[in-house]
Amino acid sequence: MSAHPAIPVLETRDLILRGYRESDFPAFAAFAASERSRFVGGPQSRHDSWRSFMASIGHWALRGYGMWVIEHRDTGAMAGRVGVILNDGWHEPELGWHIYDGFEGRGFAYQACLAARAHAARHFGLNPLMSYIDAANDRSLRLARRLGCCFERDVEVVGQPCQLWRHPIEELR
Amino acid sequence: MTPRLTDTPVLETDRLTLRAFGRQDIEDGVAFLQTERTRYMFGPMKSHETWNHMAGLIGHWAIRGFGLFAICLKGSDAAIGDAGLLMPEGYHEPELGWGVWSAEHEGKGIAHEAALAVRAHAYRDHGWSTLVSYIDPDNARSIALAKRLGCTLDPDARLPDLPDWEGTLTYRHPAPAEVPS
Repeated sequence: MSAHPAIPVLETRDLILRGYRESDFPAFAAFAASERSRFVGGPQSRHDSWRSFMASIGHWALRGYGMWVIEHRDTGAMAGRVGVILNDGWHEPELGWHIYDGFEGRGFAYQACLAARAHAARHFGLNPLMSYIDAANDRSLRLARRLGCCFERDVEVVGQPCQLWRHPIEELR
Repeated sequence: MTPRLTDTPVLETDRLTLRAFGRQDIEDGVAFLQTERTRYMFGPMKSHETWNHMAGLIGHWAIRGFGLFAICLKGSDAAIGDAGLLMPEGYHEPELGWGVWSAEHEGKGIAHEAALAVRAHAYRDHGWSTLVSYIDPDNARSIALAKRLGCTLDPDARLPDLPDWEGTLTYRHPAPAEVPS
C-alpha cells in the first residue's frame, strides 16, 4: 500500500531534491534540536520535530507543494531541506531553505534554491516568491542577495518579527 | 498537478464511511482542535498549530502506511470525527484512537462503530495481533467505550517515551481470536 503524496524529484549537479522517508527523521531531528535551527522555529524537542516532519509531508498533500529533502548525491546523506512553505499565518508562499551541519559553505543552498524556485514558477505557478529572513541571520541574508532578492518590508510571522525579501521573477521559457 | 494520498483504504460500516484525511477536512478539523473537546488529548491547540496538526495526520499515513481516518456519515463527505491507527515517534506499539468532533454526534454509538471497523481492519489487513488505546483517567466517556470494546487495563504496558504521559491509562484490546470477525 502506498499512501504517499506525489512529490516530484529535482536534480542538480550535487543534489537530489526528493520526498520524505522515515530514515530521514534522525537527520531532520538533529538539525531541529541544534542551534542551527534558531532562525527557523527551533531548537525543538524530538517529539515536536516528529510533528513538524509529519506536517511537512502533509503540506504537499494539502497545498500541492512543499519542502523537499535535499539529498547529497555523492554520499546519499540528507543535507537539508528546501522548498515552498505556506503555513497558517504566512502572508504568501515562501521559499525556505535549511542546510544541515557539515553541508554549508559549498553552494548547496544556492543550487537547491535555484532548482526549487524555477520549479515553483513553472509547475506551481508561484512567481515571484518571497523569503522570510531573520535580520540576524547573516548567512541567509547573503544567500538571498546572491539569489537576486531585494528587501521588501519588515513583517511579523506568528508573532515573530522578520524581514520579507522578494525574489526576482523567473523567466519562463 | 495536485499531490495527494493515493490508495489509502476506505472502511464501510452500517452507518459510516471511514477514509483518510484530505484537504476537505481542514476547516472542520482545525475548528475541532481549538475546542475543549480535545482536552484529554493534547488540546485545545493554538490556531496556528492546528493546520500543522492536520497536515501531520496526512504525513503519518505517508510514513507509516496507516493512520487516522475521517469518520463520515454514509452519503456525506463531511468529517464528524476521527478513528484510526497511530504510531508516532516515541510509541512502542500502535494505538487505536478515536474522537467525535461535536456533541451533536455523541451518544449515538458512532465512535464504537468506527473503532470496531478500525480494529477489524488492523487485525485483518495489517495482520496485527494486539492494539492499545491510551486514555486520560478523567476521560470517562472514552473509558466506557474502551470497556464496551472489550478492552482491559494493562498496567504492564510500556507508555510512550513522550512528555506529559505519566498517569495515562493503557487499555488493551482483545486479541483477534477473541473478537468476532
